[in-house]
Amino acid sequence: MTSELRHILCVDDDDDILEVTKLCLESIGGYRVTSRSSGADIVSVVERAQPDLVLLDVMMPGVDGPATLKLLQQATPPSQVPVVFMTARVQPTEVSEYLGLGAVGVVPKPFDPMQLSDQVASIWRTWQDTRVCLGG
Amino acid sequence: MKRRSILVIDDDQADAELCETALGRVRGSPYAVSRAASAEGGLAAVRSGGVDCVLLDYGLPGADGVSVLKRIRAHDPFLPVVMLSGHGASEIAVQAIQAGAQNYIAKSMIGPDVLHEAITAAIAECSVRRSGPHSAPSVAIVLIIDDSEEDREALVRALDQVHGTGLRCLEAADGMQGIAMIGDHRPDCALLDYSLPGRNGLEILKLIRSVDRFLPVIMLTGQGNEAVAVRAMKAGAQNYLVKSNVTPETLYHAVEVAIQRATLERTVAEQQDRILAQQQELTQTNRLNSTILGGAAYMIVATDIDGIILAFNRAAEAALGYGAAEVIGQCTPMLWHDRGEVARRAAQLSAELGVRVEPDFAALVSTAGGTAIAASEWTLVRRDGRRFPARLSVAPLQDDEGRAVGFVAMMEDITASREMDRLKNEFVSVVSHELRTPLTSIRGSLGLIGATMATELPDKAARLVDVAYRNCERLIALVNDILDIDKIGAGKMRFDIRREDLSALLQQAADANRGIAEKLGVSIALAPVPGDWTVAVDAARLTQILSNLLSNAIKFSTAGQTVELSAEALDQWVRIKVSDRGPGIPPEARHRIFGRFSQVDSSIARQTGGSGLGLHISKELIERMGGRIGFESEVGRGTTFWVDVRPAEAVHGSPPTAPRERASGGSRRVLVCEDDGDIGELIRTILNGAGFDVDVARTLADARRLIRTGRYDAVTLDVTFPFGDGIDLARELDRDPEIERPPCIVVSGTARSTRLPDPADVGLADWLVKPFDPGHLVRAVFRAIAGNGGMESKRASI
Repeated sequence: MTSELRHILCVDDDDDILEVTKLCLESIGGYRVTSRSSGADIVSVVERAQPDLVLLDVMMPGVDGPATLKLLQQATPPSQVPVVFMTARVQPTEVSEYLGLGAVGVVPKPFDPMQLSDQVASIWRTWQDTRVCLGG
Repeated sequence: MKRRSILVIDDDQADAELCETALGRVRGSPYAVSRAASAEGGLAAVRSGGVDCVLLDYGLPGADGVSVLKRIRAHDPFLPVVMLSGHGASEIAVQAIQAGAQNYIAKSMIGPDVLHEAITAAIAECSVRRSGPHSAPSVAIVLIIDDSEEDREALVRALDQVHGTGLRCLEAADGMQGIAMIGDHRPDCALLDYSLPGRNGLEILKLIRSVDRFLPVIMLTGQGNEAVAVRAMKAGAQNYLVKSNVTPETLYHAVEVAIQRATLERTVAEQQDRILAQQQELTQTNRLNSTILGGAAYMIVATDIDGIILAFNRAAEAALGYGAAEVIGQCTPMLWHDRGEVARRAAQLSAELGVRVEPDFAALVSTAGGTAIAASEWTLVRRDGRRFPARLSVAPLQDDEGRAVGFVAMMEDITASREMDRLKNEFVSVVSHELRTPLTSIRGSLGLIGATMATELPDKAARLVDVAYRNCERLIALVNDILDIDKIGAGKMRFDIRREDLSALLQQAADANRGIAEKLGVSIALAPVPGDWTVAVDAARLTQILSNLLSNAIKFSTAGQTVELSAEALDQWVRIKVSDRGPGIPPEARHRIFGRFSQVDSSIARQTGGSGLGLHISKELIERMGGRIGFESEVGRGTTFWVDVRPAEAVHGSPPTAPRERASGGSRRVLVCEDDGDIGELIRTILNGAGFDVDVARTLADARRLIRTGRYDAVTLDVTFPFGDGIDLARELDRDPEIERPPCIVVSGTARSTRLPDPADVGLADWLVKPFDPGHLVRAVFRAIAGNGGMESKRASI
């Protein structure tokens, strides 16, 4: 993992959202985007693609967002990739729950296409700052 | 006697002729007769006036006698009517009298005397009725009915002798004349000779009684006759005197007594009538009340001042499982309440009201007083043990002096309504999510096209994309607003009130709206605000409110105009003002401004992509934050909306907390409260590494002192100290009105649930259990300082 955000992995069961998000992050943010519609095989996907950040939908059938995150955390070795949840459910209690699970940030839906890249970048920077002090 | 005008209403010519002839043959010709052949004709004649008595045929074509009678009565309740009928029938007779006829005569009985008697009596009776009860006479009138002129004179002389001018005497030579005079002159007493020609005294007496219930009559006779005496008294005479024994004194005395007794009897009778009427009214009212209580769907229970049940309606019986007879007079409502719940509520009330409230009936009614109706929710327990939630409304029962003498309570089972609430909230939550998902794609797509491909699109397509995008924004705003309103209404809106730099907030609001303003050629002027002004608000929500006001102001301004944003000190408040030079708010719209979907708001919404709910939400938000909102407007000149917020107390030398956007540690200061030296140093190292300045407090006393300086943006807090407890310190600091406790992160060996079973007890930013993950700690501190967990957008729902 580098200290620059270049490659983002998006996981969402809604293909339209995947497409829009990808276009958004690519054309406005200039990032490289890989899309998956399920979190079931997240561990191998992350291993192969090596993204700098994972943008993860919460409400998905089968393996939902939190479960996907858990898969990453329980892999051997545990994945260190930062995970950001994207969701329409953003009550304050829900947000701190997500963070408590280990996510580094939350992006609410519907997002503003003009803001999304900045939001993700901002979360990345904060996370970087906390990582630095851990010497990792 | 003057001639009476008699109207005969009969369609049968022969019968009418018969009446007229008979009346013509009455001695002295006292009657002038007119005829009508139909009900209408008769009524017309009655209405035109001058009729003293009506002879009414029962069998008129097209109308029965009783209904015609009623119409006559409607016109004149006191016009004497005698009903005539070809077919005698007692039922008709009864009906006729009940309907208000004075008498009923079968046509076969018609003759001069019969008619004369009936008419005279009828006229007299109506006359008595019309003039009402006697008033106390200053001069008593005595009517003497005797066919012997000699005897009459003797009586007059006798009375005169005793009382001089105090009595006035009237004389009648026969019964009929006497009765007529009763009607005309209302005598106070009658002296009636027994042996009269034609009808004897007894029969005349009966007739008099039918005309006037109370007129005292003294029967006089030439020969003493016990049998007659008895019959006279029984027929209603007050006294019976033998003429030859009468002296002036005895006569006068008899008259006096008779008058007094009659007065007494009249008074008693009137009282009785009144009582009867009141009883009927009471019965009616009781019947009404029973019906209401019985039919009510709510449980209704009335108690005396101590709680003993006085009334228990059917709904209560059904819902609670007790019969009214079992509980009335015997138990209090505690019978169906949960004792534990009552005890807890009593303790709560005691604390709130500052007086001891007993954990029994008193707790149920404690807030019912004066004219207020107190409402609260309780768990009720049925006889069979089953429980259900209910809303209880209690009103005091008061006596004339306003003292409470009991209580009336209504209870409503709210199981269903609670379930509905739950379903509704679930529905709203689900729907909002379902709506937001496709909106994400739509907004994303349109936004991207508009932003990145505008030049590649044909002009028309670009415009259409614009339209679609704007309306998509409108939909999103609407969904957000609906959720906000639902959250506010359900009491689920949480406000994070902190000390905020006012100048920075206003700057942010101005900046956020400058884009829209410029597009419309409107400028925003921010008046300078002293840099050290701090206010106690939820920054995100205040920003939402200011954006709402600013965007409204901008939309109602025309190109070239300026919207002003300013703040001033006003008594105990800080007033923020948003002014425009727009058209102003017309008077008829003013009271609706803050209502839902108010017209003013909706018309802006249509232009701007708002929802029409903005002002309503702004009002709810500001009021729940403890502030106020209002406006001044003049049509043609402009509008100023103002928002009042509370200034935050300045704490000596502490810098105001800056708005949230900083991502790096910067010059943030953290206090580590930890009695173990090694652990304290470890935490210091970790946090220094993340860019924080750190101080360590090893005792609670030091911790308290340092926190009070207000220098720290966050505190990490151990729980177990040698002489105290970190949680207690946090609670203590909460209660101190002089300081604002910085967010606390507990770092402890104990699990949260063990030390703090009720999480709402003390507001803590986080709770970490040792050994903790350093990264976790750092993130927790960042989140605590940022205040809302790392979210990067100001408003949670855009």
